[in-house]
Amino acid sequence: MVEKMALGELSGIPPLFPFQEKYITREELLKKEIYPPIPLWFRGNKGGDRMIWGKVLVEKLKELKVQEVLVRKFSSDEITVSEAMILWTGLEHPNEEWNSYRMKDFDLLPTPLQQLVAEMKLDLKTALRVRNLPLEIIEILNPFLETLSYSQRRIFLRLFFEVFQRDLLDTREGIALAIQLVHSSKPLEELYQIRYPELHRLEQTYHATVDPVLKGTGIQVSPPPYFEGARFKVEFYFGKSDQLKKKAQILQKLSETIDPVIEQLTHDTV
Amino acid sequence: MTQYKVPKRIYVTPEAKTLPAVQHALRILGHPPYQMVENPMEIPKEHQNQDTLFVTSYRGQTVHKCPGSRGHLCCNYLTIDLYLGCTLGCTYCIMKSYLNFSPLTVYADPSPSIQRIRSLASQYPDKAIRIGSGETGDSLLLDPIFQLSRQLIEGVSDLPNVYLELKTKTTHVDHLLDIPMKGNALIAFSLNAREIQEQEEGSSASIEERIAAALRAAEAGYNLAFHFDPIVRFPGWQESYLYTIYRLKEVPSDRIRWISLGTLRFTGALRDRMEDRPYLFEEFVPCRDGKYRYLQPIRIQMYRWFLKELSALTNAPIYLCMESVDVWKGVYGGLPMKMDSFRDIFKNIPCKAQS
Ligand code: SF4
Repeated sequence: MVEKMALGELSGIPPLFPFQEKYITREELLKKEIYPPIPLWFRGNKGGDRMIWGKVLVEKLKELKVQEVLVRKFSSDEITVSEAMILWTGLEHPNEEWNSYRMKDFDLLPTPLQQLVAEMKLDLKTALRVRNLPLEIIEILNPFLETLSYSQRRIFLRLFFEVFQRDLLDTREGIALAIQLVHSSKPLEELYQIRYPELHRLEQTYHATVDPVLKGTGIQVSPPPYFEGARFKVEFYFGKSDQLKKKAQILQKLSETIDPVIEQLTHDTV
Repeated sequence: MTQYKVPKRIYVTPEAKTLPAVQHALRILGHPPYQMVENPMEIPKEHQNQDTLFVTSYRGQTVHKCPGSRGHLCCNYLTIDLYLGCTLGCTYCIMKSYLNFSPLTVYADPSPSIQRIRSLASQYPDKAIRIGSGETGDSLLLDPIFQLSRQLIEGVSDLPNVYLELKTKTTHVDHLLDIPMKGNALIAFSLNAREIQEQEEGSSASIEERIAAALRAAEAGYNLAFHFDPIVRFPGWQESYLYTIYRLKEVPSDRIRWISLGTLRFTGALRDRMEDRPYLFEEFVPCRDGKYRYLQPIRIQMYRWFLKELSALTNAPIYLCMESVDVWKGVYGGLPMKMDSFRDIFKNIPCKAQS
């Protein structure tokens, strides 16, 4: 049942989750009391009452000098933490079992990762995979992670954690790597190179051979993706036969040097 | 050595109950309680896992073509499902990506498969038909209990062009040794570096135990095959695999019919289910079939090394499993269909052809 509660009393109730929602209802709607009732979890003497979400909303209502706020109280028999979480994220899955698995997994995460998941900036699977990264490292990476797209964030965290494990880094070394990366001009690329040194070496070998010949020619030669296969692709545009001749000459020059490099790149370089 | 986990619970379908294999299994297991179900759907959700044994007879297509891999050369192997699932617990097991929530299933009536193989054999009398039961689980893990391989071996032993391969990481061969007519049946062992066996292949038999079992099988008259699969790259991999190759020298080389090589590969879905094992921190890249493999030059280098070491040991064909045209060319200088020693292995058998 929805009821009203004095704002003073409400603002004394701590939030259930350590992170805060970002979204807030527009001011003109708030003034008309158009907002979802704030869900409260009343656990009686089992550990105090909690606000499932709404802390930011309460702050805003305070600013608007609202006296009483709409709330919906849930008793601890009525709702579980998992359900509270679903309420908080607004994400519900029709399969009950799935919800509870997901929640158990969510509980395993350290707070900054929980926050990323709850804000839908990171998928739960990735968060679980990297959950053993020391907290200090996640905290250093966090501001940078915020600047990445969803998929870049996933890739970055996975790669970082793989390097952390592969190189058996301790926390101090992990922090040093995190600092190095966040100060790099291209953190993701740099991390990728650290994680895939051989692939990076193949790319370098390739560019060292091809770029000097093709630079400024408008011809593009692409190796097979990840050097898997042995088919290189040539692309260029031309409008007249003399342009075509010129391109052909350049390619002729490239063909004189490229065989050993192709062999090295696709067959037995390492 | 017992490598199988005794199932926590057993479900049997009514038509399977009276099959000799099921009666035999129940006897061996000490007549445990079991429940009857019409189909696997009736097994409660909480029992849908590899601690549960589901015994049924086969419904549907009995012989399949090995699924192979898009853009990769397939050795035209045919497969039969006898045992679906496995409890050995290899960390890289492909079945993790799709069998997590399924019971260990035994198709306890191999007679439809035997009929199908017989009809294929007479349809293609000039082709070597290689067929195995180790695609969906270990061929011999549960076999001492159900004895299905015995029925299979005996059922096709008179067919000169059928090569039935029973592939295992166990030592479970002794129940097969006294079969008088073995035909072209082969006992095949997956082999790996000792470290990989110890750390990544769960409760499988040790390399030494597998070789000893291979010797017993050879002495009893079986031909043998070996599969270095998955070949894993780790610091010191060459020395470690050399040890296994060295142990393989104990096996009479004229008994070896073929050896296959396949480096570690996995789908993205499987990767998500694998724990972070050290071998996963090598560099894997997506290939044309969507599976992740070591970089191509690294694979070629590894295969060349194996080929060199193993060729000193046997004249049997040593072929690559699920590899690309370019890797074949890099390792052998050509494609298997054009090489005499591989022609039989890579010849296509259209298993859908009707009798
Ligand atoms: S033996 Fe084969 S089927 Fe069994 S767990 Fe290992 S890889 Fe999987």
